[in-house]
Amino acid sequence: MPSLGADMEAGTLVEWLKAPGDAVARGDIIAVIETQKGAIEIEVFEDGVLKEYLARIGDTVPVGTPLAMISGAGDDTVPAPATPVPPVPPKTPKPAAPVRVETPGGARLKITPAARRLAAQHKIDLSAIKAPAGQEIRLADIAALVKRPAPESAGSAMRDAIAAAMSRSKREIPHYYLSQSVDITAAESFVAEVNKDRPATERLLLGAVLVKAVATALRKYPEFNGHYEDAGFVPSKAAHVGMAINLRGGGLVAPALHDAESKSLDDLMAGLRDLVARVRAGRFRARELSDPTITISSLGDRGVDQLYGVIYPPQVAILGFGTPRDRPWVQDGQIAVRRIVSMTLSADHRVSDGLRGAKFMTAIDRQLQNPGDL
Amino acid sequence: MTATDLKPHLSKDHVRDLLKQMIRIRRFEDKCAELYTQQKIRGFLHLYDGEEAIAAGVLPLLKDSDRVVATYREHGHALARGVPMPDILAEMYGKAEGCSGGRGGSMHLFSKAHNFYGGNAIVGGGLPLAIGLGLADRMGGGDAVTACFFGEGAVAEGEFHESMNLAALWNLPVLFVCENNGYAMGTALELSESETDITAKAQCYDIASEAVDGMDVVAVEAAARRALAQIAETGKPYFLECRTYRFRAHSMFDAQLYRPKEEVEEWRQKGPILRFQNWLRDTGLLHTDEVSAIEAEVDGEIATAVAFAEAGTDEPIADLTKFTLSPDRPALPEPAPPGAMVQTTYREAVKAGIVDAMTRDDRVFLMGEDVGRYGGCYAVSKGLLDQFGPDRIRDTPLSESGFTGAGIGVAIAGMRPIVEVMTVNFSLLALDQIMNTAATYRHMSNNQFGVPVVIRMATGAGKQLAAQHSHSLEGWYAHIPGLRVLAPATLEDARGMLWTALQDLDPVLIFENVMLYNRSGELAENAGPVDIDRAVVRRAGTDISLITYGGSLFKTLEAAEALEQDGISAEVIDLRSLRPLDMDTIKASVAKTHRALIVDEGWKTGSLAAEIGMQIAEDAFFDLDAPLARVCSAEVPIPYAAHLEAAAIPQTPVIVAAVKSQMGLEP
Repeated sequence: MPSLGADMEAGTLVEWLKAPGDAVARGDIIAVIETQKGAIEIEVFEDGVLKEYLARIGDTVPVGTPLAMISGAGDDTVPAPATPVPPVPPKTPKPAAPVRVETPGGARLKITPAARRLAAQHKIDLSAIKAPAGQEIRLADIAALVKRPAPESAGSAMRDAIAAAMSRSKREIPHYYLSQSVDITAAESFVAEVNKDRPATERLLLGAVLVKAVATALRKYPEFNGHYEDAGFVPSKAAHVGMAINLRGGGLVAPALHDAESKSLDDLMAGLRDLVARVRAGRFRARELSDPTITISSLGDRGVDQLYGVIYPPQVAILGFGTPRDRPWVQDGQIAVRRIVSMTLSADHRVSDGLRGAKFMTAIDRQLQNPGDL
Repeated sequence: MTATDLKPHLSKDHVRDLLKQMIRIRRFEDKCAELYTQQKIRGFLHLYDGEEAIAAGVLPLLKDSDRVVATYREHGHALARGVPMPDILAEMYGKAEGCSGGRGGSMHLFSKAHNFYGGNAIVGGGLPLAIGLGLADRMGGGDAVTACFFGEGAVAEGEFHESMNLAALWNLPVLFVCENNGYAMGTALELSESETDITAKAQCYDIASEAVDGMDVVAVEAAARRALAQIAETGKPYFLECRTYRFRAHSMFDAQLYRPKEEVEEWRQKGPILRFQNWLRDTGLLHTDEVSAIEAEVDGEIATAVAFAEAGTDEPIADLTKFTLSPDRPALPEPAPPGAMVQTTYREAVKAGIVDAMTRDDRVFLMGEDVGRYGGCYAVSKGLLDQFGPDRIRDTPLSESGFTGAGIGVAIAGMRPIVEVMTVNFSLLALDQIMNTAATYRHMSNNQFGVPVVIRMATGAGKQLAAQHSHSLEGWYAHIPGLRVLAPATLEDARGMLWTALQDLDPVLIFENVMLYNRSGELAENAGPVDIDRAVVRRAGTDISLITYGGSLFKTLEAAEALEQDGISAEVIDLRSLRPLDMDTIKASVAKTHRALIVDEGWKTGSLAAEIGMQIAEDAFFDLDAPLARVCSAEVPIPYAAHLEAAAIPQTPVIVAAVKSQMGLEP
């Protein structure tokens, strides 16, 4: 199929004017094709004999397709018309890698406009950002910092730390939750009895009793005491009980009361008092934050009935205590007014199951019914 | 006495009118010269002193429905045509009350109410316009005549010869009035013309012509009567050469080094007013007192005009761009739910659009080189001649400026022409008409005249047509305020943009990339008009916005497909309209992707891509997360050899590489 115009891409064969076996000579009209511009006669540019048709009447074929075979004088057959198929243009060479022209004295930060705007919106100090060598700072670089902004103040750092830990917890730890109402009438009476002759600075608080009860119960239920690491759960022999303490400026920390299972109530109370004082003064030790093997959280003075905690990784359990209230309570078949607190357990299902959790809570309850044994 | 009487009847009233008209023009021009020296009038000021007999002799013979095309020395024509003197002077003051709203000034007086199609300041540029006006009257079947005035300098212009040819070829009712004052600005006739007999130039186009003493108002009127009578009888053009002389300088700032003072003085002695006045006095037709009375009347009219212009107000700057385009737009087409899909090609889709438009509106017709018997250079109009006949599928001579100007004129007169120019390279021959007339007319005439012409042309490389048939110059046209510039890439747009463009009240240029004509695909059998305002996202993506149009669209879509393999999600925007640009769509996309690359087959320097990139930088700078980038044509005349041609224009692998580079990946 000859190309008859720059804009012709194909043609339709409508008529043969020579038959196979016919002699053809240069300049003969051999066929008629239909194009966008109408019927056009096709001239042959070879001498020879038309050997065979390669296209049929009605065929639409691209420019360059052989329409017939013509045997030449030397009897070697050549396709005709001999319009060469246009060669495929060589692939366009790839452009050279762009060379960045360094501005003399180019200390100016290379940061894209979009990145610069995002940084401004989040008050990110551009001078504190280190760009990868030879690269500009892009939107994604700033977006990453927005998720984990550089510490500016303790408050926002605290919030970020909590956010990171709690996000990780909820992302990684399959929590299950149990709740139980515990009669703490005996425990409160015990505390009141102990405090009867003590000065205010040495008084025992219910919190220490709760810590001791939990720590004691953990001896039988080690799957709630320890750390879940990459290799799996590692139980702890000692019960380092993290005490969730709210900070005045917002946020909270849960530093450890170390070895709670082996300490006396008074030692625990002293430790608790010391810890709260130091936390509120901002002077706690980093180890105290990473050591806890379980956490106790209480919103007992905030009127909350129940508190379902989020486990602080890599721990595997957190116990929550609500507000103790006087409630009607059936005891020995009689309705009595008792001091009741809601106790909840959030535990890591990778390590324990609900049944064990229930038994663990019952064990704590039992400890609290006999505070004198603690 | 009627205009069709062959001889002037020199009644007292008539001669008084003739004299008064000449005195009126003369004294008005004197006042203009004075006001110019007072800086009340600025710019160029070309005065008609000495040539008054021509306007006074010809224009009063015209009917209200006749049309007048004049030059930049047109105060006399406007006055004689009846445009009020205060409106004319206020125009020269640049006041909003001026006959062109202060937008045109001395050289561009317009009045739709008087069928006065302007002061045209491109020498020869008014002639194709007159051809178009005459063509409208020829096709419309009315008896209007277009009187086209021009100086003898215009006969050296190609547009003059193209227009002579077209007028004779198409038998147009046009009265050409050549005001031969002997100097083209400062170049004497014998220095600029090998043949100084102007009528011979018309005669060689087989146009009836005569030369007349342009300093004799009665002779001019008599000649104009003969001309108009002959046009009325034959419908054919007539050429009148009025030999005259300009007493004042070409424009105000002219030392007249090119002619001796004695020559001016000699001509003054045979000046049209002096001669006519003396003759009237000698024959007793008009008393000296009566001449004084005329002068007093004229002075009163001028004083009124000056007071009006002095009291004129300035157009608020806030209205600066008003009427660049028509404030009225046709309603957007309501797309019908697509029907059954049929296989077709871009070429057939364009053709279907033409057939549809011509079927729906008998004001629509197609004109251009080889659109009829040849079937169109790209075979778009093949077969339409048989369907619509030679009037509406109008083959034109190879005179791009002439027939494009004619298309513009015929559009101004109310028709809806589709002008086909074979290729954008050829359109440069018509650039004067497209830019100086079509694009300016509405604004310059203060919205009195619009140009609803559609000009289609082929653009782009890829068919090995080398450096004079292959360029992509649509970006140049997109530079021009007053135009709309479209680039249909898809079958839907090839089919649907034309009708919407024809409904538009402003000039619309449609660029059809040559590589698209053979492109086939499916189109709804009921496909119809589409909007011509919005860019369209042809492929959604999130990582980068690829902005393109026309022939590069499909290469860019292929690049986006390839990039998808590398995990890069490219959004592809088809501009569709190159002027105005739908920057809202572009900016919305960039706000999402934060990166933009423009693919434009135009040359890079000063390209449309540069304009788009700059607008992004201006308005969406803070959305950018990577430098802007372009893939444009190499800065060479497009070569013939296939591999060089391919390397010269945007190709898919280059687009892919450019995107990867922009994304910070190894290409």
